[in-house]
Amino acid sequence: MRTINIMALLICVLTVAVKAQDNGDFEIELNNQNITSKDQRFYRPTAFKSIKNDAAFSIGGYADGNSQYFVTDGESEGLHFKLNGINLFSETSFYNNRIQFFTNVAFTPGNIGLQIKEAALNINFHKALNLRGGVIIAPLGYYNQNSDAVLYNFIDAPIASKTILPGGLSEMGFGLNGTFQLQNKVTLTYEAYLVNGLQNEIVNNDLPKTYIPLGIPENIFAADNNNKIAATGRIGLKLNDFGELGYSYYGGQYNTTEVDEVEIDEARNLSIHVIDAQVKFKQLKLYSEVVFADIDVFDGLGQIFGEQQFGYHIEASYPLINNISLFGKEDNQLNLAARFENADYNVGIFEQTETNVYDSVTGIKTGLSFRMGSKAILKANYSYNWQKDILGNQSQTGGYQFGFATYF
Amino acid sequence: MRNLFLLIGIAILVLTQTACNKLLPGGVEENEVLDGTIDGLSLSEQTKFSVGDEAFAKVFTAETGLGPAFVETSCISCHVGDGRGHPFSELIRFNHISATGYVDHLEILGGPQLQHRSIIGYETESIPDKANGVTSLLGPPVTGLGFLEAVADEDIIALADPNDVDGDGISGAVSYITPPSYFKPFDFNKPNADGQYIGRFGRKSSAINLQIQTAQAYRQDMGITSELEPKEPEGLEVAAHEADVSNEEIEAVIFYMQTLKAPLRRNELDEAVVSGETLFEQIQCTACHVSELKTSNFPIAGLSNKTFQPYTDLLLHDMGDELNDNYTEGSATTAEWRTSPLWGLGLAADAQGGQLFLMHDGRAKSLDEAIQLHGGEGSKSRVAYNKLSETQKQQVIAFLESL
Repeated sequence: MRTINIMALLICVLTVAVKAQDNGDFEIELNNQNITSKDQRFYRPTAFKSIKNDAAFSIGGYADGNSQYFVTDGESEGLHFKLNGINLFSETSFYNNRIQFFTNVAFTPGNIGLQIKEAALNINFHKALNLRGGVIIAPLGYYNQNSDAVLYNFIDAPIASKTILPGGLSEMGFGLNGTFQLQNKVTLTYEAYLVNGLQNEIVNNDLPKTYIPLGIPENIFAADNNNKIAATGRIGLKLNDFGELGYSYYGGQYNTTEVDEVEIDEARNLSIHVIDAQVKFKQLKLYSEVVFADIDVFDGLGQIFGEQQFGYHIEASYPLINNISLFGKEDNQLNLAARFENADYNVGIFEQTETNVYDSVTGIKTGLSFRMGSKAILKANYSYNWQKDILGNQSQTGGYQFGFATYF
Repeated sequence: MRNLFLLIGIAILVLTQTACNKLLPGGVEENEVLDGTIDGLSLSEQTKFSVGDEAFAKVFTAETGLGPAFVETSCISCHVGDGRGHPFSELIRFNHISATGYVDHLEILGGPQLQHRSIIGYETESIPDKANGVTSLLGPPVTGLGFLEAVADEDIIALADPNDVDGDGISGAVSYITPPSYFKPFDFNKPNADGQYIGRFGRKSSAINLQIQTAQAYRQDMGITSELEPKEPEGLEVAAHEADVSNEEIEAVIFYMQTLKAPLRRNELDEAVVSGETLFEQIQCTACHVSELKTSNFPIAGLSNKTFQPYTDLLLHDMGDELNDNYTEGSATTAEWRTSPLWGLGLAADAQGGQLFLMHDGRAKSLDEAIQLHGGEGSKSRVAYNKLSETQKQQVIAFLESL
């Protein structure tokens, strides 16, 4: 039965692939090839937009939810449903669009109140020179800056992008950003900010492992834990008609060195490097992020807490059917996608045995997504992960997800 | 219209694929995992088991009492999957033995256990210069411990032959331990003339029962104090504080370990395994690795008056110079070690990252290597094993892997 299903699916894929070629390139506003990663989130569909004189205001939001059924080594928690979050964003610009204020607030399950993901003032002196300050989204990889669920074919974020990178990192900070048009189709972007920095919980946790996302302060408005700032930035090079390549960095001291004026530790830094790429070959789109993290860990904690982490994902998507007519609209699209990913939380070898330290996860995902214009998407995903604990003992998790994401 | 049909067809394919459980990871058979309960637990006992399971996996941090110096952060870190420990979590212990044989565990210098990790703001310990005996111990599996605890003292004594009266070269000795003040014996625990009780847990049989083993492990391995063991290891300059863990939590962990099932055999009817079992007895491995013991009356019905197959006599045996680390505990000599239960041996690698680390410090990377390290009282069986043909050796290995 399964063989027949697979053969039928292959026949469908081949049939519609041929038809898609006949339709030519398919433009979706969100994936406009002329918009850089740095600015993509400012081109979201909005629910309301008003322009008056030299001022403009827009507001919108997005929400995503899904059902899922996962099995780990034969045991399942059953089918359940999740609403992953509701985000509201707004942008106000005035003074001939030279001054902008944009916000993004998220209501996520488990949070009391709401989480401010972005609330920043941007002063546009020149296309190549903008001053930005407030609650800013750290330019750490492509995914962190553009994490709207509507953009992606998969329900879950790439593992390395959310567990090695502090996925969804927003901090108080300020800095500069800009865009240089080098040639007709070549664009260079940069962002460089000083931010408050991450905190002790990277290693002071009960996982127990080095886990950078736990370093995100619970209250970004509270005093910093060590009065030391961190630096973050990204350089992106975009070639229209081909794609964009980016390099991001985040670094700074994360730990507390004094308690009640008593020194408890020396300063310890972490640094994160990300290379991201989004490439398009005709209708095939490829996305990838490669992450390296170096964390200076207090010696006494030993190898329980890794000092180096590495992860990557590579994802491909291809439109099976374009121009699907539905609800009076012609701009609907069915996509096939696949992702391969890996995250290693403790790169190294055991001092005792000189054998590999594990604590890693490798995963594959495949899925179909039905994109309804540029504003909504339905997703059907299958995933299979291989998890290894620090010693290398392996467990496996597989499952299905059906979800939706939509702007409103 | 054509697109609509195609969409419907793809939707049907997606639904049929999701109905296929073959794309999801299957479970493992009950005899391929060490965790699971003994038979006969009541509903309330099963709940108590779950509570203990959770406490066993609980990770301590500096805020919840970890350290200040420690070896690991949770029970399960040293007993992954309820199995044998890995050298990454080795327990390094040290002592000083004088020329007259006096054993000083150097407690005033933080002994006998080295806590080689520490929370932020504290130094890790180091082995004192005065130590002249250092050993490394891997955590044993915690399965079937309830059965071992429930064996009557008199049954252990009956297996002992410290003076080798029967002349078979085996002189298993009972380990007698001075109990701590909080020790409460079961009916079948009988003191000797000096008020000492039989130790049966730990590589040197230095713990009388699971309560003592657990409370001491909390303190020495994680720096977690309790009302039973309230004192932090010496030399760490920690202010007096309330117990880090409650008696209820310790009791839950004890119950969990008591009611973990004994490892189940695999492939016991295979021809090679059956032959190997016969050879195992013929070369006198069963002189120490006794195949069957019986429990006494015990407060947990599922452990009471049960016959079980641990492949241990719970006695101390001199294993020769190769395994003599000049370290000791209780009444054991430096060359004596408690017979390790062999049940669960075939699943050891599953808890050790797919590799084998056998013997007290993990020095043996294969079953054959472990056999070759049997000196002293074990040398006779080692010699007999080495005289077997390759096929017979493989049969013995197959038998051991079936445990």
